[in-house]
Amino acid sequence: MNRFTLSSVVLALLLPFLGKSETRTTLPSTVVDFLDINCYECHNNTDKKGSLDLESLEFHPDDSQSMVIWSMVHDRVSNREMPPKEEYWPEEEERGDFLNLFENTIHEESSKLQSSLGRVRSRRLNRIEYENTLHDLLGVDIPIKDFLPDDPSQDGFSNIAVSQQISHHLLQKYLEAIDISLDEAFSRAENQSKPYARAFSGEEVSWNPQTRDNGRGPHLYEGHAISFLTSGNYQGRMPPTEVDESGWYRITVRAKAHNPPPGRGVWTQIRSGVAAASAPSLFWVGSFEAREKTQDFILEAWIQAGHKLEMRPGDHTLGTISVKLLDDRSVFEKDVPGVAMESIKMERIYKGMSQNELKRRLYSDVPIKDGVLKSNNPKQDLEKLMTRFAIFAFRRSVSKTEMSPYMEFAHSRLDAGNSLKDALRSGYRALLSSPRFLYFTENTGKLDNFSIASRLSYFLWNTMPDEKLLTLAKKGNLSKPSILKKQVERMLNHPKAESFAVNFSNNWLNLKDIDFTTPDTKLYPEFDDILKHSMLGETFTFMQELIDNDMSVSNFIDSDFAMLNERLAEHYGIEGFSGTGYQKTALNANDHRGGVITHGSVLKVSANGTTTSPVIRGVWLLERILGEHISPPPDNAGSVEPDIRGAISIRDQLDKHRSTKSCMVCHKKIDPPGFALESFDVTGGWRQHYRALPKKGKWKDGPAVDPSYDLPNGKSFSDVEGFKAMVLEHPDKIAKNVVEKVLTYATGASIEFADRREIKQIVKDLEDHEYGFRSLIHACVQSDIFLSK
Amino acid sequence: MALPWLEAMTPAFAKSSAYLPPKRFVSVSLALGLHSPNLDPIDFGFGYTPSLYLSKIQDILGDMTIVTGSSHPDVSGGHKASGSILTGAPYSRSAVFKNTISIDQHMAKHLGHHTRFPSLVLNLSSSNSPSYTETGSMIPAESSPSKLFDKLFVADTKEEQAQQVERLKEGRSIMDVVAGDAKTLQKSLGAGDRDKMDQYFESVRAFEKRLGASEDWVQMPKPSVAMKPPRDIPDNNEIMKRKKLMLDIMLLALKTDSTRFITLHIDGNGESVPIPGINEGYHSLSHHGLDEDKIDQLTLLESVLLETWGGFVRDLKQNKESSGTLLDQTNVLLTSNLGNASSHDNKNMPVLFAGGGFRHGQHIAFNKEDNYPLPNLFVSALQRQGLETDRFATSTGTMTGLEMI
Repeated sequence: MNRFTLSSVVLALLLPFLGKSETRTTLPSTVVDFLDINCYECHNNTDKKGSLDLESLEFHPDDSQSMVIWSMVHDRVSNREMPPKEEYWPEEEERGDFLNLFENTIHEESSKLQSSLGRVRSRRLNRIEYENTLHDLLGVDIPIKDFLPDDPSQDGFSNIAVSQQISHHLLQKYLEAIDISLDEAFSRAENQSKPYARAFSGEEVSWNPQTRDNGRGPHLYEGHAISFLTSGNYQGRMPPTEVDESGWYRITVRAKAHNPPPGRGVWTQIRSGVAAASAPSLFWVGSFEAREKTQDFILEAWIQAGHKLEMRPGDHTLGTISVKLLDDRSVFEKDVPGVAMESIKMERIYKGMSQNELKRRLYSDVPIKDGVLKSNNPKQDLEKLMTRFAIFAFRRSVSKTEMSPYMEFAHSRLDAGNSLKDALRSGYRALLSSPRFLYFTENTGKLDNFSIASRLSYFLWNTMPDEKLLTLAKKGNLSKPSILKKQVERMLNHPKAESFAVNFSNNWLNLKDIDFTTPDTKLYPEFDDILKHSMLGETFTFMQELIDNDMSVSNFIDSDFAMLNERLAEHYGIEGFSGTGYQKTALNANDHRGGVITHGSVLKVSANGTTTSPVIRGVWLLERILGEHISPPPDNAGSVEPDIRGAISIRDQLDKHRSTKSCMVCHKKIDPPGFALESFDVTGGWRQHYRALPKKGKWKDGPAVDPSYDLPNGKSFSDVEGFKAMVLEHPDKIAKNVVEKVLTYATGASIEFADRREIKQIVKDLEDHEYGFRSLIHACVQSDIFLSK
Repeated sequence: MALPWLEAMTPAFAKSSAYLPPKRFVSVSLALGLHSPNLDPIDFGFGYTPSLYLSKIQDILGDMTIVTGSSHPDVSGGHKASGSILTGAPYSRSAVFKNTISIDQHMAKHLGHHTRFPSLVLNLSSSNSPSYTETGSMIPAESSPSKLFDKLFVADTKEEQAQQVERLKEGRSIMDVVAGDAKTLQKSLGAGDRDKMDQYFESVRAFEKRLGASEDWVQMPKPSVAMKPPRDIPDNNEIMKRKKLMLDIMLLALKTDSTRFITLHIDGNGESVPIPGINEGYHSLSHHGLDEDKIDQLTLLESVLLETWGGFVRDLKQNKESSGTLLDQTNVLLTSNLGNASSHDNKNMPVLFAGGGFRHGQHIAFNKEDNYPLPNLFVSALQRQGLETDRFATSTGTMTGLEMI
């Protein structure tokens, strides 16, 4: 019974895509027979159990949706989830034969498609990549991504080619970004930027009792400007620090703690803004820990024109004081912690190229004087400079033919009577508007050296290849495994590699949505921005630590250390922390930490601001950390209305899963990690009771948390440590997921069926390196998946 | 290029009876829904008893219809489904999502060429919007009222105009070069990139056309309005003030026929709106978890949202145009992808629909357990615009019970 007829229409449609090999649109008859005997009884076109009609499902290798379903069918049988045990269970041999042939068929078809069309089709620069590229290309430091809309997300990643769309609206935005960047670059190349450096004493920035100016400013006391943590807006603002021009500034604060709590410093935050009643919104600049000894603290931030700085303690565990205490200055008689500033200095800095570097980038060795390019042969210089710039802009060598339309355009500007400088600027504008700038121009099959250079630099640095990579590519050496290995090492050791730890974490663990919700201030009064930033820092430094020391990816599940700063140690209740900044801290069993799954950042983004949901967290963990795909709930599942009045616990509400067979299919996977993580609240704090809000007053302990779970297979755990131990029994599974995520991120395309065999081999080989993260990155770069379109 | 339709804005232009007043469409969308116990009337049909929220805009109930028990078929995913608000494209968290054209862009595509701006896509604080092109590309929203006002009404100096024309002309030449190169590139890249490069090529051509149209419009005088150029409201918490300001500019944009299709999206983040009685962030309140205090605060907040929207409808009603009012020529929608933000349910979306062409004053109540397809309302709205459509996304026809007059 052959259900899959080879439609001539389908074949005709496929013909343009066919290289030398034909893509089949039928499954082998033995495969179909197996499906008929074992699957059609439920998954036919009438019953459609589980919304799956296998009988009518056609096999279209070129349709990704179709392939997702067929892959799922394969996996269900392979994992012994289907057919359900109660029904007829095929003989092992029969099952084995089926799986072999089925896997082979899907793999073959998937591979053919990859060879002819590529896994990654027309990937373009995303927001961050676009900004970084313009920064490195034109030496500017302005926040360009503010001009561009957010990237669409797929599988958690914001650089996936198939999800990227284009429209004339977006082209308009790009042109705006290009024009702003060119304006800035050309301006800085010829004008000397006036150095800006201002320094203020504590007295100069404080509230002035004589004139009563700056009522919200710090208070002068014993020669220091002291600010406290109050509920008032922009308390601790310093009007003299207002800047006239938007730009990057280096801020040096000389300060110490005032009445620090025993054994701790005073965590202080700096923000910028208009800081007035009409505009109390403030932008984060940074934080530091003021100690008993006076020290210099240095921060760098982009500050907008017309904004001033506000500085005050930001650690909400210290408690806020009433504004009244400040008004009548009685605060100084109390033992209230504050930050005491001796002086503050602000200097304008430029993070991009120096003026000379910029001139070189724009004009090479053609001298410029008083804004005019001194050229003996403008036409020739125009050609030379355009070609040179195009190599950087297009990230590869360019032929005369490829350059000709752009060259013709630039020449036309010169012929119209414009100066060489203006013609050049127009020419650069055209080059930056080109699809060769915006898109990764990747050839089908094995990537050429330049394509490898781009993929590599956007993978590890999120920016365009540097001169070293471009030179190696030009020589054709980058595809050599030993050279590739050396380059990866060079790049991982370079400061730009920080960008990998940050952006990979932001994507993989969805930390880019850290601000999507804010913890309820009544339920979690201890939550503050310093904690939030510390949480992010924890994950980024943890990631970096694993890379630097090639530590096993099992550490993502559990580790005997954490990268903490004092604020985090306080929040997590970890004793004995000392030192400044992030320290590698050894963990004890009763610290309840270890791994990335107990990071505050992760626990926050997998919850909302008020409640946690074992289902949300369970799905989050399964998909992101264990690499399991979970189907969405059926339409009639009904949503759980969270109830924070404390009457009913979430476990009671979700109990329905255990009693309904069709729910258990997915929920036996989702609920265990979800419940294990119930021991952590929305701020990542450890809890043994849920917090509840009474009608008035502070939060109080609600029902007890029960993080235990009995799995249908007989296994069970009583807490998150037990859950982790279960997961750690399969380090290869953990590694497989990381490989998949890294390859997805590195290439800009999700994992397809044809990728599975190589990934399996990579994971097998990594066992010899104890699944070290650095080794994993190397293995990914050396893979066919990475080195092919 | 068609002349814009001009009503008597300044005495220099007489009312032109040769032109029929154009039809407009405005959508206001909320990211966080509306609390349905406060919004949904208990009874249905004409002359229903207004609910708490609707009683705040009593005077315009006769000009609008409230629809309950409807949503977009096959859309789930809570917040993430906001892309489907105006497109009705089926969405689920796990599938590869390709959005389709939104209703306002569909209108702009066919009818937008008459005005300086085929459409306006706005937001109070970010660039998120529910407006999508036919290739499923989200149109970034404008969130600065001062920039918007500038674009619409502030005359540029002769030098600025000359500069703009220069840049636009050069932009067009560049796009011409780029379009040609895109075709060359497409040949060298291979079959896998064909579709995307086609889309890119189409976008470049469309951009070229837009630059050309903008060039034509540069020299046309912008309409003069009584309102002074506004300053942006820097405080993120002032959602209500920002909404009012944006709606005021939108009203002028419609009156002056600067555009006929506008969408305004209101995100919901941590803003603590400075209304007495509210001390929590908007997002936190919408996820009330059945907490009574939060619901009380949410009620205060949403009441003002409703009142402001109602105020906009009222302003349209009070503006005379031709033989009727501006409201007679404008349809205004208020909706959200979330029927219940606290449980992230995309069913039972809040839907208020006002303006000319329909018999209003009704509560059309569909089945809350088995929702009616909301795209049907979009078909009705498209037909009102004079477009011969009987399908939009997953629609099954025009909306039952909503009579076109």
